[in-house]
Amino acid sequence: MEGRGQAAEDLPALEGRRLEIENRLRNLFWTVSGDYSLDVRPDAETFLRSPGLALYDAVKQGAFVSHFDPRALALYTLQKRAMGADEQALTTLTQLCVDAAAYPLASRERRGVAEMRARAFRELLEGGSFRGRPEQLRKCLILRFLGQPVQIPEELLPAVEIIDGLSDARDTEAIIAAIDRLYNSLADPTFEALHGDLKAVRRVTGEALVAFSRSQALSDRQIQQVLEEYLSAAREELLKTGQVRPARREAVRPNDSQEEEVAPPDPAEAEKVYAFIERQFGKSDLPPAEREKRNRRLCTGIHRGCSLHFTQGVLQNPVLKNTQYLRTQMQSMKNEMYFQMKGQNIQRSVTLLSAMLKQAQIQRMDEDAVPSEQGQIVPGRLWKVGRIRDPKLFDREKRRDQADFLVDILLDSSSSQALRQPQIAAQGYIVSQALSLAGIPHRVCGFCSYWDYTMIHRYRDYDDPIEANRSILQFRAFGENRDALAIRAIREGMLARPEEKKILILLSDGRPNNLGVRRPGSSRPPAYVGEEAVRDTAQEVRKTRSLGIGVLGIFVGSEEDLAAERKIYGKEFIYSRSILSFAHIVGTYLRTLMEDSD
Amino acid sequence: MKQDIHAYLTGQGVSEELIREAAAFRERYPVEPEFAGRVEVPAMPFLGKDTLEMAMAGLLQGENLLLCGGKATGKNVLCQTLSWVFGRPAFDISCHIHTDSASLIGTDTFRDNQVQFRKGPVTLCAQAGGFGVLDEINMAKNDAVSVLHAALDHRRRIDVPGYQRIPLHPAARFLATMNLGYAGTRELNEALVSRFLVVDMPPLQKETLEDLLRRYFPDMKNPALEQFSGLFLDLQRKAGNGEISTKALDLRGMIGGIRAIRSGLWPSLAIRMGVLNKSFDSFEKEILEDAANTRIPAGWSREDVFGG
Repeated sequence: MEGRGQAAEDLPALEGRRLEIENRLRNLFWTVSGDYSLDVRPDAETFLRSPGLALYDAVKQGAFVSHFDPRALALYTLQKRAMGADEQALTTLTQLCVDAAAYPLASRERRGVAEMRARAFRELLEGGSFRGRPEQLRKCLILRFLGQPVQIPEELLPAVEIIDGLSDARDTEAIIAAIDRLYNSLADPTFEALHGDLKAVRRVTGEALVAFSRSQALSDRQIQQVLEEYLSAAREELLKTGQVRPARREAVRPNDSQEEEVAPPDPAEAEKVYAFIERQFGKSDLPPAEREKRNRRLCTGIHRGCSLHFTQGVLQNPVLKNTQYLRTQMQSMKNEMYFQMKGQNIQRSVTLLSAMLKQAQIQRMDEDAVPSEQGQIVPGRLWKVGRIRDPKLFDREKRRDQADFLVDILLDSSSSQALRQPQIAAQGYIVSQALSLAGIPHRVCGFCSYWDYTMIHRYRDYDDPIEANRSILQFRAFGENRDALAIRAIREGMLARPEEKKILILLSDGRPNNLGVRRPGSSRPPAYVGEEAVRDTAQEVRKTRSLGIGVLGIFVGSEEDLAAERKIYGKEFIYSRSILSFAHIVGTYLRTLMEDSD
Repeated sequence: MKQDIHAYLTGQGVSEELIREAAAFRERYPVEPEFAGRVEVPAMPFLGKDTLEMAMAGLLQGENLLLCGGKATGKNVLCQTLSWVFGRPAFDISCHIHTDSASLIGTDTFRDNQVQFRKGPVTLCAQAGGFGVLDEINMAKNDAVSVLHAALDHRRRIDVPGYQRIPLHPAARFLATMNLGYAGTRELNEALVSRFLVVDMPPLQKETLEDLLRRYFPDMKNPALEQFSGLFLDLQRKAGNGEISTKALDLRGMIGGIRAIRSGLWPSLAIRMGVLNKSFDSFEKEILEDAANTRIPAGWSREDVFGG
């Protein structure tokens, strides 16, 4: 009961801090392993219950993966389990052996690790349960390390000796051999006689392992993939020090999307897909080599297998006048009609907004002159010579902040925006027009995803003339949204600009969502949905901010997505019930930034 | 002093020819007595043969240098070392967003009942044959530093509007430093970059860092030396991977912190004061603390760091 109560309390705290905790644990793992390309699934839940344990686990994992092969270890435990070994006992013994092998390495290199281990062990002693011989062994080892009185039972002495022998283990095979001996002697003395020795265990095939876990008929490739998933899940568990609450985590079952193979598409099919994308969204702005280069650079991590399509839209750069072209033209006409209908209001908004921005600009650029003993001579003060001791005949210019501003507006143009396309187009136009009139370089883009492609539709570029703002009225909502990839693509262009203060304003109406409908010839990247997509987008926003770009998220979707959006954008986030206040929000935000920049 | 320079350069493995040429340079251009105070012996000269050789060769050929690198790569230490090695007075010119031509070249002032030109640091350096260190040159606006173009290229002169044309002393050189990582910095324009030879400052390596700390703290115990240098390299790698900002990547701070241990401060507190507290972001501070905890045990005292 107590445990459940605590878990219920933990949940909101965890949700609020999950990103930070995971990032912290991941960083500690990277610090110790020294390899920032390694992927790790940090355990934020353990951190909340027992921070010392979670931190030590991250250290130990970092040390272990940089010296040993966790995949081989995980494979062995799965093989052993497939032959009938008890999962709980095997996991405990593996954890003890991993700790015994990794700790000396970590502590030799890092003198603070001993204290971290002691803290973790104390927390484990307080909250752990030590039932069964493997757990008794764990308790003895913990007490011995903490220097507390312990009487190691005689039957456990050989096991302690085996574990102590791992302090100078050189390879993963030595650890596996030790675990096998421990299991066969401590957990199940009949195992070897019934199922065979270590060699027999290592002969268990991948197919048998998958069959052990599930009973569907799978292709070789699928077997390999499912196996990798199980290995990955097992690895996380095995590299832990223990559980404060002995609640067994369910093995991570690969979900349906992950079962699908992630393989490069057939080139001929991929070419067809690309031709289709160009027909639907307009020709690419980039030559093929540059396109390829950007995809390689930007479509990494969770976006592997995706492609970016930079375009000015199907109306500006059509391949042919197809149905898509006509639909976009129709939408553009609807946007124009709305624009004409609301012409006066729009014009008034533009005037107000541009005046507000201009005023902020003027205040910021204002030059203050202070009387000084050097600088620009002021003839009107020359009468003071010989009459006043400290005449200050000069003016020294004291300029206020002269930093140039750059603004990027990124509009979510996924199909969830379909109901308010004319309004978004008009609001985008108002902001863009006001920025043009205030002389602030800016770019306006829309983004949406279709299959494995994420389209970056550029309506106007930074240095385009004011007339180009009109093309924002070609806004059309279509497809899904892979926000983080779009932010990454936009950020690259921003960083290349010479302006000092860069601001990215993102209009969003819901969670990132790119299921990636399967089609032959597409790369079929993993589905980009749910918590993982929210977390990835939040990380991309933070990274953008850390590179000196201010990011403001303006959310106009339903309230149920509000928490996710807040998580993505953090403090710089505005929720608006109506798209009609978009321009006003942007204007006020920019003015505040300009005034604060003094 | 000459002996010291020779010993230092030889110790760094700099080629004999460069050492000879630097000595000849010093003899050819003796320092004016009024600027002698500006030729400083660095408390800790730059360590790194290749970088040193590149910089010396460039300067001997009359070139100006742009030292480009991240935080704590020793850009300013190299400038100070070069000014010492070549026996030239150093003029520090800190560039910032408000740097303008007047603050570099000079401006009018009223002296002895008349309006006179008050020389700026660049003009002073040009006339004294000094080494002008344009620190963080990319913090200044391109149009502000464009007044230096004529001084930096083959013309080697400064034209002051309303005053005479000032030729550069033959020994005058300009050493600019830049760090692309800081917020507010910008790319230099091509016209300016083309007037410099660019030296990429490599990140600190383990051996160099340990050598450096050993020179500062000869009585530091080996395990402590390894842990402090290891921590710095951990943070350098972390900053290089964009996981933390460069605020805490502060070698001066670390050295200051270690000094405080001598006064009896606990090492874990000293490192907090010298390094960790440089970050004001609570999340980042946690990451920094975690990295420091793996290296510096809370139970360590002064005796674990110094002595023996």
